[in-house]
Amino acid sequence: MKKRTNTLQPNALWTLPSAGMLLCLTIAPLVLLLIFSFMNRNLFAGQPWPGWTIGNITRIFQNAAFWKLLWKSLGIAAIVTVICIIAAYPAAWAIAKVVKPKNRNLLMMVVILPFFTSQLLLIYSMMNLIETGGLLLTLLDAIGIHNAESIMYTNKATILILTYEFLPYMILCLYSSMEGINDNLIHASLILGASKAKTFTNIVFPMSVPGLLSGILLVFVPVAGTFAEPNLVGGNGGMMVGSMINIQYKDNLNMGYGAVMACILLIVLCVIMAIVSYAAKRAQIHIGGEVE
Amino acid sequence: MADLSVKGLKKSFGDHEVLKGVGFDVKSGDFLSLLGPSGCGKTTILRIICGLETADEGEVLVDGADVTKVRPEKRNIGLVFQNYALFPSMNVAKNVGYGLKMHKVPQPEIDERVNEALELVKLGGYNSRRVTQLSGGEQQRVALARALVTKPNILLLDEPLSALDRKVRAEMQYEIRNLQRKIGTTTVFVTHDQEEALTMSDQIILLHDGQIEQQGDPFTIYSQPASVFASDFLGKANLLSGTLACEDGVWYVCSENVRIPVNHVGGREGDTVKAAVRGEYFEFCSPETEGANPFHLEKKIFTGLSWKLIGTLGAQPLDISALGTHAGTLSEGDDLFVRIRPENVVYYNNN
Amino acid sequence: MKKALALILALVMVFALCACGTAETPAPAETPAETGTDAPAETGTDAPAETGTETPYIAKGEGDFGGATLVVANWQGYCFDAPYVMQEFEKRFNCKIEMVNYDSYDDLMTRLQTGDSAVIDVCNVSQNYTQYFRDNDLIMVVDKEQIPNFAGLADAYREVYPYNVDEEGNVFAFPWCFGATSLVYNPEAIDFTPEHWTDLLNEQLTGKVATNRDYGDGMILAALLSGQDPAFPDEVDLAKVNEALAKFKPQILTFWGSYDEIMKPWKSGEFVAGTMWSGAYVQLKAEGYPIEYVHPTEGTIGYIDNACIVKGTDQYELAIEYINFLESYEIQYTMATTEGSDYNPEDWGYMAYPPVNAKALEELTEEQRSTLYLNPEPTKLCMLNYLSPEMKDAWVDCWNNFMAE
Repeated sequence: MKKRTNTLQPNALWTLPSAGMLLCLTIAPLVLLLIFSFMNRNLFAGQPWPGWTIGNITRIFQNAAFWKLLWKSLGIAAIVTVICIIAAYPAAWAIAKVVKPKNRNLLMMVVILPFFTSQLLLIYSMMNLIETGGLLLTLLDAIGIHNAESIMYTNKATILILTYEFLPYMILCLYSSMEGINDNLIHASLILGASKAKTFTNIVFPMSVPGLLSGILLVFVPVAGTFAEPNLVGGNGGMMVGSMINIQYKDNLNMGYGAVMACILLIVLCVIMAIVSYAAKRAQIHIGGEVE
Repeated sequence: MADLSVKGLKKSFGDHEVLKGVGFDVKSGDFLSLLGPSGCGKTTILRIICGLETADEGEVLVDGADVTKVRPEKRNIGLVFQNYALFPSMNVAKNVGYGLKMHKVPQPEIDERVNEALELVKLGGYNSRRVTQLSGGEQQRVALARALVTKPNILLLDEPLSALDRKVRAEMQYEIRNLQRKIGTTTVFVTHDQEEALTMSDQIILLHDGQIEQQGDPFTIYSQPASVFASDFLGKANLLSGTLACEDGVWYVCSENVRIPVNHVGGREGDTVKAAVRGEYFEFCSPETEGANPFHLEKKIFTGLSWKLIGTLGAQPLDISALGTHAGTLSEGDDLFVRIRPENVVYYNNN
Repeated sequence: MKKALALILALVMVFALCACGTAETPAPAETPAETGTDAPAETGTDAPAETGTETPYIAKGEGDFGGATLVVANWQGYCFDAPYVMQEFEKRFNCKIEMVNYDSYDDLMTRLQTGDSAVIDVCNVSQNYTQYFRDNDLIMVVDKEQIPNFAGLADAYREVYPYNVDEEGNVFAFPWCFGATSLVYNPEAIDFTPEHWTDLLNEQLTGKVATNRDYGDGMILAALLSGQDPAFPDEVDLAKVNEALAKFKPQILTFWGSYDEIMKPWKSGEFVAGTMWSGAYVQLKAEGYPIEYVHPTEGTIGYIDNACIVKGTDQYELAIEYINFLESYEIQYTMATTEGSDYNPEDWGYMAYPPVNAKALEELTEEQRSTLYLNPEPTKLCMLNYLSPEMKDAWVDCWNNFMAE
């Protein structure tokens, strides 16, 4: 049997760096999180294991505030995601199909420009815009709308700022899907009698679904767990579940309890993403018909 | 099932004038090929007919009705693309039935007509298949079914067979023509492949640089090309230069020791002309035969269907196409005699 | 060859991940010895005896320590790293101060327990952790005679049981500053002068109150609103607290956690009354915004910060000098007024802290007192004491519920 020489034969060991990273940096911490849920309070380096308990689990199911914040955070995340989708579709389509190819790169740069600065800077710049005495209200006043109230310290401000922060992700994801839609498909659809709207629903939308799902993942999940924005601008009724988890880790140092909260959030998010994927798939089958 | 009429189409893209005034008619049920090299404007004409482009000047009339300003989704025209343009997110049945759905045909009727269409293109039972898993030929059939199922007035095909391999292409040529005859839809077929056009069409329009070079049925265009370009584009024509001469009422094109009889269509004695002769029209003969001309064979190439005999007729290069066994016996370096009938020669005045 | 290369790559990755941290995956069988760090009982082999018997070292106020390093732990930017403290001390005693910062007292506690990379000699601990640190044997009892300047502290802050002194009168934590978070209000926005914490429930203030997000300050306020004293957490009835918080909720505009979050809403006029750090009060007042504070009759939310000597330190004498230095009239005066030292206040940002030294307190001008919430001085400081884990959980939950409404 001739020994193979120059072909890059896949060998189990070659996968070790990437598989190893996946294991150590993604799976192991998640497993640890699960284990910590059963841990009594906090684990310090060099200290013995503080003991197992299911107290964290029993406590969380009695903590009404947590569940309230959880649903609220999911609601806010849903609203932000929907707004991002509605805003991103036209934008991504314009960049992918409508503008001249030579302008495309420039526009993509503009879209990802917010990533060049820190998250906190983005938040503060928006705060300056919408606060009382800020640019927005000054402009409104100038055109005759006095008595407009700032949305600062309300959930609306949180939603606005989160949308601003996460919109580029959605645009990027949709753009990458739409780029691959051949122009001829649109033409074929028009010729077969579909209006532009119907072409969108039947042709463009199903082909954009992979990008849409990635976009939803990149927007919905982080927004559901965030706490910097609601802390800064959410005001009295603006607290989100991420703050509660953060407090357990930072102030209360009850890592076990915090881990339970984080795990529940994680599980709920996984379930939601599974449902969304499933719904997208069913929608595709509805439009596209069953395939063997 | 409708007449198509195109008048005076002009179209420029930026500075580049693509169509310089094109007009033609297609009778109901006819199969017309638009033939020409890349960039001659044939695809543009197609896109203007179906509404994806608007002409700077000119009209498109279907059954006498002016559809020039009508949006593409409102013209009842079918289009088959070169790269099929099948919707990847739909299965075969949904693809084929798409047009019917957009015209709000009730679902049971859609199912029935889709099945019919698939049977017609010999893809019965493929309803639930994923279009991305079909072979090129199958995809093209689905595209055809999709275009035909809505019973369009006009069927347009934009180089639909270029992406297929030779054998499948030959089959599809036959099938498309058959289908078209059966259903009787007025068809415009764009191609750069002259053989394809010759095989399939009732009428061919030869386009060159945004204008119509020649229009006619395949045989006429092939055997009576109206210009040097035409003769060169359809089959390979040998161009022989010579002067017109007349002897005993019979006209010839003469060059040194070569005399080619022609049917006189114009020109006077002594005019310098170019005669176009197709390689396959030469017959081998003996030196004493009436009209024999000396042919020196330099090279013999076997092309499967025929032998290509490259040599000189007198002093000018000539390619002869000869079938079968006789040609096989010839050897390179032989001196032979060939003759040609006058009706198979076309000549042009000076370029 | 390929296999060897793959193996090397894999090993490089594994080593790279292990080299950074010392934390291990938890398992019940894990013992401290495995992690290569010291358990608390083993730090500092040459630490002097606990209470310095034989000839106890008494702080002299000057000396040459030959360039020795004193490791000091405190919040970043909190006085100890200001030039008039750090560089002055280094100069006077010919030594080097190495500053270590922590994120929380639990973080500090962990570091003291594990020894960390730098063995800390002196640390700053707030009053709600001093007793706990002492109970866990992390800090030393020191004979107060060894620190002459201790006697010069104002009565109210010198020996406050159980925060820095135990039942037998042993001192284990040495106050060096305190703070009060008063009730601030915009006199132009309301038509009355608040006197009680419950005045924050006034309907003129609906939606205009901001307070600290932190549950510590928050729960002190909550207890005060319900008429209870947070000094004895066991006796606080959370049901009453929740009732009071329910009334407080509509008053809230937002919660703050940093200076910027205080200043922004105040400057825009949305934040009209509530609590804020004295530093923010000072700055807003200096910038001309209408702002006043009161010490409500029930008591002022406050804290006392203490310098403690870490058990097992190898720089005991230098640490004694350091604490003595902090509590000296000279340094306390500069700390309170930013004056009186050779160092330019601009270098440390004009931060002034309320002093504990009696003489420094007496010498403050009216204006200086105002900026430190000392005009008038608080009648009573309501401070947090140590919360057991269960109590902490309950209080955190209570405050979270309030914030989450």
